[in-house]
Amino acid sequence: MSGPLTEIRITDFTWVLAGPFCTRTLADMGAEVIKIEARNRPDPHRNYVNRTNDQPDPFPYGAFDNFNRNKLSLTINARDPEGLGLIKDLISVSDVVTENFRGGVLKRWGLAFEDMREARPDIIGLSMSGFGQTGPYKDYASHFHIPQAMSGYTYLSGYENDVPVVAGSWGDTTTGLQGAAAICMALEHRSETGEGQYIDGTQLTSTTHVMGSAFLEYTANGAEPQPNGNRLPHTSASVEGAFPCQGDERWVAIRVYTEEEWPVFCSAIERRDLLEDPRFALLSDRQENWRELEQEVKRWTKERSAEDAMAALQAVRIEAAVVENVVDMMVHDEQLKHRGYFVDAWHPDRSIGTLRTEGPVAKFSETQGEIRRTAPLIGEHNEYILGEILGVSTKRMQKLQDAGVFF
Amino acid sequence: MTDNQTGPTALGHLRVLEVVDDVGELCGKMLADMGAMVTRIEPPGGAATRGIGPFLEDEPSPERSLHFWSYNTSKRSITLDLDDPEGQALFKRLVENADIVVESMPPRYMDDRGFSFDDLHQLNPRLVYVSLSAFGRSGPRAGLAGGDLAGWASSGYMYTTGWTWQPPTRPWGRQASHAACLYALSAAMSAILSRRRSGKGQHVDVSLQEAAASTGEGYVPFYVGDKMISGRRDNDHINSFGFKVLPCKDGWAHFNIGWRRDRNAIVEWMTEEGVAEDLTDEKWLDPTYRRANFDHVVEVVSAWTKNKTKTEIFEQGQERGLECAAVYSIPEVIDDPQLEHRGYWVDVEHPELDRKFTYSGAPYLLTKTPWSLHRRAPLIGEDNEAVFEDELGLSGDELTALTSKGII
Repeated sequence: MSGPLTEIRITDFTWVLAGPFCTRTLADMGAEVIKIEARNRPDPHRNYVNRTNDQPDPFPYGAFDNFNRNKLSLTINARDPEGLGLIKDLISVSDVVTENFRGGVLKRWGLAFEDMREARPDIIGLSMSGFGQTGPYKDYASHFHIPQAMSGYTYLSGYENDVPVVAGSWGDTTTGLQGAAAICMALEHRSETGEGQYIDGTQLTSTTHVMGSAFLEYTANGAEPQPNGNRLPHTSASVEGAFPCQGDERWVAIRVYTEEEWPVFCSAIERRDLLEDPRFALLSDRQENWRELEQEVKRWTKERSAEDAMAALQAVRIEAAVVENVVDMMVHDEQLKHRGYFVDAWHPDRSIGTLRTEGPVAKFSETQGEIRRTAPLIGEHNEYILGEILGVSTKRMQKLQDAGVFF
Repeated sequence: MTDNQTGPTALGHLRVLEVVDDVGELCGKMLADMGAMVTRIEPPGGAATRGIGPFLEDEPSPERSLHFWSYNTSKRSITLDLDDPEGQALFKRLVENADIVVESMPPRYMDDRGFSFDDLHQLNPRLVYVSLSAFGRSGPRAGLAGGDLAGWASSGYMYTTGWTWQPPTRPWGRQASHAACLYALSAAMSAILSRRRSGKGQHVDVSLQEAAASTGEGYVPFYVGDKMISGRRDNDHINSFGFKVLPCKDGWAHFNIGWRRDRNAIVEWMTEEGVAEDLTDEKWLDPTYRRANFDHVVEVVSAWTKNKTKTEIFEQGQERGLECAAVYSIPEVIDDPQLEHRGYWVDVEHPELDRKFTYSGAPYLLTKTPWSLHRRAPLIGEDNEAVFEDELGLSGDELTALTSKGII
């Protein structure tokens, strides 16, 4: 089977993380994504190797492969007029163009959206810069931590009256996912009307968009939201957090939510006495004294393995899950195994053979996409793309190569 | 602020039915804000997520949940008792004309009522049926209890987030749910696109665990590459030394003093201001020495950042090519000039309260089919008449009878 987007071709100028995550999502669903780089200016993520444990020769693959799997690579010099012409030829047979440079970079290359539309009138263009194509911050640089900080996400993660917690690379990945969704919606509009369009997406607005009710809480109530640890904002849960278990760095996450769950939970942790404890009698008491209640829960979790704690609580339908590390996920997790979340993908470097990587997230009953391969080596598909897609003759290809247009 | 307005939409031709809890609400909101006709099915009395705070002026009421308001813009609402056979029959009639069903209900909820993918696909072969759940709708954990927290916990993301002296920490809000909803959104639209060729709908199944896991960075490749098990790194990035949230005059700013380019830019800046102390010494070029004595770097840089505001650091730093950021609180985000420039904040009318409230706005600006908040979140059953009378063709009397039986 192949994915639902098999007839879609994307000319992809994205690099680093936010943009490649967008086109990876589309490639996993079958789109043909042609990643354009220049050999003297490759995606810096090609050099993304583990630098945290000081190995002289860190394993050279993995992160870039994960974010660029299923894609094809074309190296071409966009600053050469002939190179630019070939890019426009490629756009003329593409459905979508994606990029995540700072605002205005493609325009300087002579690839403003109007230029793309000249090549292909119903083209869909998507930008995913840090801040947008116009405005006071349009030229500012941006990695994930910047939209996370500027959107309130960092301020609100962690614990009240403490240094904010930096939580992952969501400022990049949520931008990529929202960009992928916007493209699919624009493709649907094109199918209905024949009309393409340009989409100005940003990391700043994508990250701001996933902040739930935080802004309304301020604009409607005048209240300033504050961090709440592992508890959801304004949670009405009795218990909601991660608790230490037997062993080193073993944790179980538990949430006791409804009134019905409370006595069931107390029985499961063999603490019916808590039902009589005036500190925890009413839901409002438990919410007020949640720190003390967490201490009581901890006494139970510390005596057992995270797996046993999860099983005991799930047996009575209380939300509980091991806080999994990468070994839990890749070696022990039977659910991820069943779902095919990790796959061994073909790698173009023969000394590697296959590389274990993450699989497609969305599961389709009819048109399941697959991981056809890991990321391409730089320029791996030059001949295929120029020869098969653009019909460039071998002779001209040689000339272009000699002139340094595609290299 | 800009007023909400309606123009041409991308998805105005699509009809979506939603049977969701808090895990699945964002997907339908994003479809509805792009123009799809999304109808939320609520039990008589209202959906459970109307009970989630905060509430307008802190008065709990199903019509005053700011959570519900945020996640249900542009949607319609009908009430329908899906535990009642008559209610179930009416739901199936709605399915016959739907393009997409989005569900995120507890395991077996849909199956037990005759609403499994197979059941509904038989009624409407063109239907795209989207499921969101903590662990997915197949596999040994498909039946387990779980929502956003279980999704995060099992994704590997939580294990690598937070302080070493505190438990693993999840980010603010329902981000595992959001990740799953965003995957569901592009997957549902892709299934709609492929339906144009095949004529057939299909089941799209997204788990919070996998969605959240996929958005993490580094821990899978580094384990595959050299068996490294990443844990919490006290705010540092998984593959760096020197990502720091540092105190400033009015809060916090976020730096990466691990990157050579940024470190050099900071030291240059501090030298100009005469506060670089020993940071210009050659010894700091040695990565081993730097890592062993990094606390000193942080101390000297923090002493300097404390004398600047977060916005000074962000704007002046960016002008110097430094990838730094201001850690804005919620009111400060609302004052951000870039968001203002993009017309991000949208005033939405709540006619029954005779008030307007300012909402979070467009994630992306589309030139032809703009994103828009078409309407505030619906009141409970606000669109019952439009749906049951105008679309299903029930008479006023039938509707009254169903209402008195408590089915609507």
